[in-house]
Order: sequence, then C-alpha cells, then structure tokens
Amino acid sequence: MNLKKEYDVIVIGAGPSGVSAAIKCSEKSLKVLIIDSNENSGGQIYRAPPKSYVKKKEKSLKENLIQIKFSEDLKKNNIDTAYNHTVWQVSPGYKIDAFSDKGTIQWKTKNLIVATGTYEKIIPFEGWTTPGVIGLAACTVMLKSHQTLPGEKIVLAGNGPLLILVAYYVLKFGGKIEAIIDTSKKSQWLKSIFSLILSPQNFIQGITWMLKIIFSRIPIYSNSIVAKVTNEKNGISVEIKNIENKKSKKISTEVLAVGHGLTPSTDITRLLRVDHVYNELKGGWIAKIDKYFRSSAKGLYITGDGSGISGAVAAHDKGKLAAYAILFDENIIDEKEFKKETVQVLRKLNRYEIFAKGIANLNSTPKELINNIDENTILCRCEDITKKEIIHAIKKGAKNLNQIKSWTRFGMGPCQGRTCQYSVARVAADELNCEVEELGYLTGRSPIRPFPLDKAIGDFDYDEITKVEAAPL
Amino acid sequence: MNLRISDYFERGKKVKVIVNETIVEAHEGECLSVVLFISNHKNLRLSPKKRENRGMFCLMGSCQECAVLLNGKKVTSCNIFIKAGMTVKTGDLNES
Amino acid sequence: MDNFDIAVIGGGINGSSTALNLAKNGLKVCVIDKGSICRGASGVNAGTLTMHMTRAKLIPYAKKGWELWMNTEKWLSTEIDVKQKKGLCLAFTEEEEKLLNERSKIRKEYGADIKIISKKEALKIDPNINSKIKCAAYCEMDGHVSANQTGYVFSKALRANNVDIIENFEVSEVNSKNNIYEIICNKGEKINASKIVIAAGVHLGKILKLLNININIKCFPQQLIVTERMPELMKTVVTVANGKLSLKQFESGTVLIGGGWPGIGNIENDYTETKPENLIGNMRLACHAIPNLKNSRVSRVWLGLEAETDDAMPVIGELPNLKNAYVIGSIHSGYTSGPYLGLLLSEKILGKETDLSLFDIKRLIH
Repeated sequence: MNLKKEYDVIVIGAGPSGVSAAIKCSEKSLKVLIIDSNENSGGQIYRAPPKSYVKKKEKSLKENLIQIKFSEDLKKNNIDTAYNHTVWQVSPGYKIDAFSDKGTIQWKTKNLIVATGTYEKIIPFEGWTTPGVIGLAACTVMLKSHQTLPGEKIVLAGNGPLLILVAYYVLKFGGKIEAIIDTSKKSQWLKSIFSLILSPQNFIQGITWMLKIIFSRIPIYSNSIVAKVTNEKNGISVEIKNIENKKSKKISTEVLAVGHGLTPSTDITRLLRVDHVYNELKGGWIAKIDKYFRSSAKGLYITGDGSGISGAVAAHDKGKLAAYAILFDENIIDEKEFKKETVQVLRKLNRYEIFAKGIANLNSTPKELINNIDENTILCRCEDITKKEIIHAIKKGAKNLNQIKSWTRFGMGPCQGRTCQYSVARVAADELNCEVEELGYLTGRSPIRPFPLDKAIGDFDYDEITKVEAAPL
Repeated sequence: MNLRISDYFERGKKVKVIVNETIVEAHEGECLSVVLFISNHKNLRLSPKKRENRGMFCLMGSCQECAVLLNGKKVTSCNIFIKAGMTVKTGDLNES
Repeated sequence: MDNFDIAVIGGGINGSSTALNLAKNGLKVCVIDKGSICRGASGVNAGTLTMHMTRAKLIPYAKKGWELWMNTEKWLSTEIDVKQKKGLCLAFTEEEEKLLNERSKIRKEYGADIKIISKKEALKIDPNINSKIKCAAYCEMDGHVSANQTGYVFSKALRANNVDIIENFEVSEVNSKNNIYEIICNKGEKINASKIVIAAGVHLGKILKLLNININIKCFPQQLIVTERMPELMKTVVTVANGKLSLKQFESGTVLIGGGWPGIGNIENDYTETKPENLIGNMRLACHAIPNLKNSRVSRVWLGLEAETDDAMPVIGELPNLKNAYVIGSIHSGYTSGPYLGLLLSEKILGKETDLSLFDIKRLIH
C-alpha cells in the first residue's frame, strides 16, 4: 500500500471504536489513515488470529467474523491502513512517528483520533512475577486470537465479566480449570445481572457462559483473592485466601491467569499534555473529554474504552460520535445535520452507560487486594522496586507519583509505569492518607514503546548527521 | 495434550527454530511468546536487581516482560512471528 | 514565621550546594522551590563528569567539582551513584581531528589533563568504539552520576543539616523592608530572611526581574535518550570532537545518550516537546561512535531546560545595588561544577576572601 505523508484524519488503534470512526469520516470523503501495531484490525477484543492462520470453512468464531467485516469495511471505504506500525511519538500539530520492520515513518494530520483502548490492571501479590502467571486479558488473547490453551491445568482469578468469558473459552477449547477465584461476593453477581438485562445481547451471552461454568462443576471461591504464588517442581502453587474468614488453601497448577479490571491507555494523551480527570469507575485517569469525545486540545479526539470503560458495543458508537464531531468541527456537516445524526447515538450510549456502571462495579478494586500486598512484594516489575522502597521514599518526603518515580526509579523501565502506576498510586495514597487523584499521574514520555535503534537510524552517511552547530568552547 | 486448538483455523507450515541451542518445533507465523510459553520455555529473562525469572505476562506489547534476544537484538517476543531458522536466546540476557 | 538567616530561591544543584554549606556553618537556612527540589535541569541532565565538553575557562572549577563528586561521603553524607571512568573524545574526519587538537590544547592550558592518542591506543582502552576513528582525546578524570537521584540525596543531606525545604512555593514578589527580605509566593504565603540567594536556574531572569535586575537568560531545551538494559557496550564515557555527543553506560546496563541536541521548550510551565529529527540525528551519532548500540532499544526520551547567559559564562556573586543578595547560575557543565561553585559562593556569603570576579553579573546588566 502506498501511504501518503499527510491525511485529513488519522486514527491510532484499529479496534471497534477506531474502525467505526474511520469509516464514518471516510463516508464524507475525508482522507483517512488507520494505524495499529498488530497485523490486522480488531483491537484486543476482536483480535484476529495471526495472518498465517487459515480459516477453516466448517466452523467460525463470532469474534473472527466481526473482525473480518472490519477489514472488509475499511477496504471498501478506501481507508489507508498501516498495520505492524508501532507509534512511538505523537507531537502537537499533529505529527505521528511510528516504526515498523522497514524503519521509521512520520505522518501529519490536523485531526487525530486516539482509539488505543485499555490495559489490564493486575494488583500485585507475592509471586505475581513468577513465569506461568499471566493476565486474564493475556489468557483471552491466547485463546481467541492465538487459538492456544496456556496449559493443561489453569486457575483463573480476579473480578469482572472477563473472568466468566475466559472460563467459558477454556472449557470450550477443552482445557481444565482447577479453580475460579473471584473477589466478588456471590450476591454481587445478582446485581450485575440486572445491568446486563439492559443489553439483551450481552445478557443472553452472559447467562450462557455462566450456565456452562456452573454445569462443569469447577470449584468457585467467591469473596477470595490470590494471597501468593510460589514455584513448584512442575508448575506453581497458588494460595487462595477468603477475604471474610481469612481461611486459606493451596492449589497446584500449571498456569494462573489473573486480572482485576481494565484501565484506559493514556500514553498518547499524557504525552500531549492534555487535561485528565480521575474516575475510578471508568478505570482510573482518563483524558478530559466532552460528550462528543473532544479532548482539551483542538483536533484531538479520544474514543472507545480509552475514553472510559463501557465495552465493545458502546465503543462502536463512541467512534461514530467522534467522527461526527470532526465532520462538524471541519465544517463538512452543518449544525442541523450534526444534531440530527448524533441525538440517536447519544441516546444509545446513555443506555450503555447504565450497563457499563454495573460492570464497572464488578471491575472495581477491592481494598483487600491492596492490603494483601506485602512490603517485600515487587510493585514495579521493570525495575524490581518493592512496596518497601515506595514507602521509604514517601517517608523521606516524596509527595506525588512523579517525585516517587524520580527517587525510586519506579516507572523508569521499558513499560513506563503502565503495569504498576495504578498499584503504586493506591499504595502511596494509603500511606499518605490522601486520595489517589491528589498524587497526579506520571508525565507522559516518548517513546511510547521501546524503539529499536536500528530502525530509528536507518541507513545514513556520517556527513548527513552533523547538521547541528558545534558546541561552544 | 495438544494445547494448539485446530477446530477453527489451520496453522502455517511446520518449521524449526533454535532456542538456547535447542530445537523447538513450531508453525510459521505463530506468536513467538506463545510458542515459548507452551514449549517449556516459560522463563524468558532475569529481573534486573533480584535476578529472578520473568516471562510472558500481558501478551499485548505493553508490559515488556517477554523480551528475548532474537538473532542478537532485543525484541518484545509477543510482537514477533515465527520464521524458519530464527535464533532465540532466553535466560540471562546480561541485563545487569 | 521566623526569620531565616538565608533564603535560597531555587533548589537545584547550585542552590542546594550553597544552602548545604551555609547550614553546615551554623546558619538558619531555607531552600525555596516552585516545585520539588532538583527536578529542573539538575534532576534530568546526563550526569556527565567530563573535561572534554567543559568550557575551557571553567575547567579549574570543574576539576574541583569532579573531586567533590568522587568523595560524596565527605560532604553529602549519602551514597549517590557516581562512577569514575576514563573519557574518550573521538574524531572521525580530518577536520574533526584538527578541531580536537585545537580544543584539547586549550583545555589543557586551563588545567585539564587531556592528551591526544592514536586510533590504536584508543581501541585498546575501549574496543567497542568505531574503528573508523582518526584519533581520540583521552582523559582519566571523567565519569558519571545518576542525576535523577539528586533530589533524593540533597533532600536527605539538607534535612540532616536542619535546612527547611519549602517546596511548591512559586515566588511572585520579593520586597526589602528594614534590612529583611520578604519573599512572597503566588498563593500569598510569606517567608522572611536576612539574606537571599537567587539560584532559580532557567527561571533566573524572571526572579531577578522581581529585584529590578534585568539580564537575558536563554533557555535551551536539551533532549536525552536512555536505552533498555544491555550487556556491556562501552567501557568509557564517549564524547566527540564537535561536542555534540555524550555517551555512557551505567552499572544497571542502560546507556544514556546526550550531547545537547535541542528539542522544543520554553519556560512557560516548563513546557518541553521532543523533536524527532534531532532524536534521530543524536542516535545516529551515538551508533556511529559505538556500532553495537544498534542492537538496543530506546526506553525513554526526556528533555531538560538549560540556562545560558549572553556570553555563555556563569553569574555568581553579589547582586548590585542590593545588600545581602546573591546570585548563582547559568553554569555550563554546571552539574559537575555546581557543588564546588556553591561552596565558593557560600564562603563569600560567610565573609571569606573569594575571587568570583570572572562571574560578576554586572557585565551582563542592561
């Protein structure tokens, strides 16, 4: 594909909201580019299997069909796609720098849609860094996209609907689940069913999943957390602790998949220094947006779950709204058409918000998970920083996340705090007896992902380099 | 038990890759992280200070825990797809 | 609030070093900073302790600064990651060879023990450098500090010496009443002190203006790049003839690439933004100097704002037309010399004979 240097609209992230926004913009003849670090569209929730996998004719997975349609629609609308491109920097204006196997490339646009979705929150516990412990979302990707069971024997832990989804797929693919460790009480599931009712499609699906799990007679430990994980000869030992009666039990298994909800990706918005707000139910820090997903910077729109967790179906409509906002802001449609088109979408989204709130309550992080973190437990995996070191810095006077980072090195590793920022903030807030919000968030830094130097420099002659003035004597 | 599910998709052709001087069989185009995980190579590297084993964690290109040396260069293995003859080094990548 | 003997406005390396020494001499000192101390240039610079890139005239001070950094247990009473290393400055072309010879000669005249060595000798000292060099300048007195620890260690040292650290105090007004300075922040809080030291870094011009002193302070946004941890890629601190590269590998295995390649930035809200073309230029130069660097990945990029006066020389000493008011700042390679120059200024304030005539601010006032 011959990519241009400049586009009317660039979308970062080819998940449901990004694809939806791109298609709506192109319907009005705007030149659109959609970028994704994966090989294909679909994002995480509809992540396509690797390109080398060939679909068999007899059976299909619903998610695969949805993803195939995304690709077809993008093609139909003549939208340029840049897959296998990892964005490493975004500058105001907007300039987007990305690297791929072929080197580094820069695109320009006046209208940027950030649809980069979420990361999984995993609250640390002793032994969470042991190989064989993976995220719940990682397990989902492994099953649905890579069509592979992580192991013969699996234990699942965490909270929220992802727990049921993963359990369902493990069973569907013939895996054995030794236990499901759920932080929620059995009663909370009833509450969530009511919010599921508002979205019939999800409701039927949810009930189907739950029935399959109940009939498979997997031991379900409600109101429980993983206290710790230790290495064993042929696998790992998972210690389950009941939050209420404090009783614990150990199970031996091969793989533990654990996840505690999702948190919006804010790499790009923090890098661009737009305003952010803290909303625990929506997943944590999110860019400040209006109801049409405009950020506090002109020409920058944040959509999908990255603008606040609401789920994949809502993501599609969010993408649409952001697209309409661009069309209106660029004077391609007038106010009358803008209001007419958006009023219905807004109504639909409001319905989803109620459903989303129900899910969010299941997604919230129980205090017990934070209390379970031992002082010797590693919080920052990249730099091996323990809770003890974080507390030490606070006792020496560090008062916000950036200062704690500066003094301990937490967040300075390759993941730039994506994995640990939430947990460190919760631990610090407890220690300082303040709200998580007061600690701020880590300043966004380039590159957004580790940037291979060989791709960065390309081929060059020495004479080409020294175009900068020599330093004074 | 075969952990690879074949109900819905046919994988690429069978190829051999080298992991720490041992041969691992995989299919062309599979995800390197996943292949290592199910082929008894869960330990991918050592943590910087405590030198403890680390491996695949988020499978989304975010956590960077699955870094290995591929033909001498550091890569995030969950973003890499198997090609015949790849040479992978896991374990102590001299990160300290 | 009680009177302080001295209020130091600006808690970077210069202000903090000055304050520390004054406190050790029994004065009641406070350090005021608009944010957290040592989070400006002092906390984000490359931490290079080299003579190869130091201003020739500042070499005598940098040498003394270097010695202080190599002996922090004596004056900082806390461990900070400092490492002495040999320093190589590389020349790749004939033109650069000439430049290197000229500059090294001048730096040597000012006291730096630099000598020109052949390609063969240089490769023996560090086999990792590009074998295409023409020659190199060599100095044993080189090394690096982990600058991000500066705030932490100085906080500890200052507190241990009973210095009050007043952070998140953005000075908006300075008045002189009855021989006492009244320092007011933008939220209305006040601090009183008998003497003041202005060490406001890149905001020096702004604060001096509050005292009706007008000098021009240029703001240079400098980009820095750090890689992921790698196996050993270099044994020395590497710089180049034209001064536009600094390269070092820390014990942790990360490589820090600097050299003053500009990004975009200004002192409004300390705004900074990366300039991709300059990042790539800097990386190319780094990979040219140490070819195996190509196997690594960039983990982080950040910027710091560096201050410079019109003649690129520091301002240190008494402020004119004011009693008991002093200034320190805009020191090129200031991280190396900061501890020593802060010490010198503190001695002047304590009434000892000190020659700071080279840095008299009067030369710049318009």
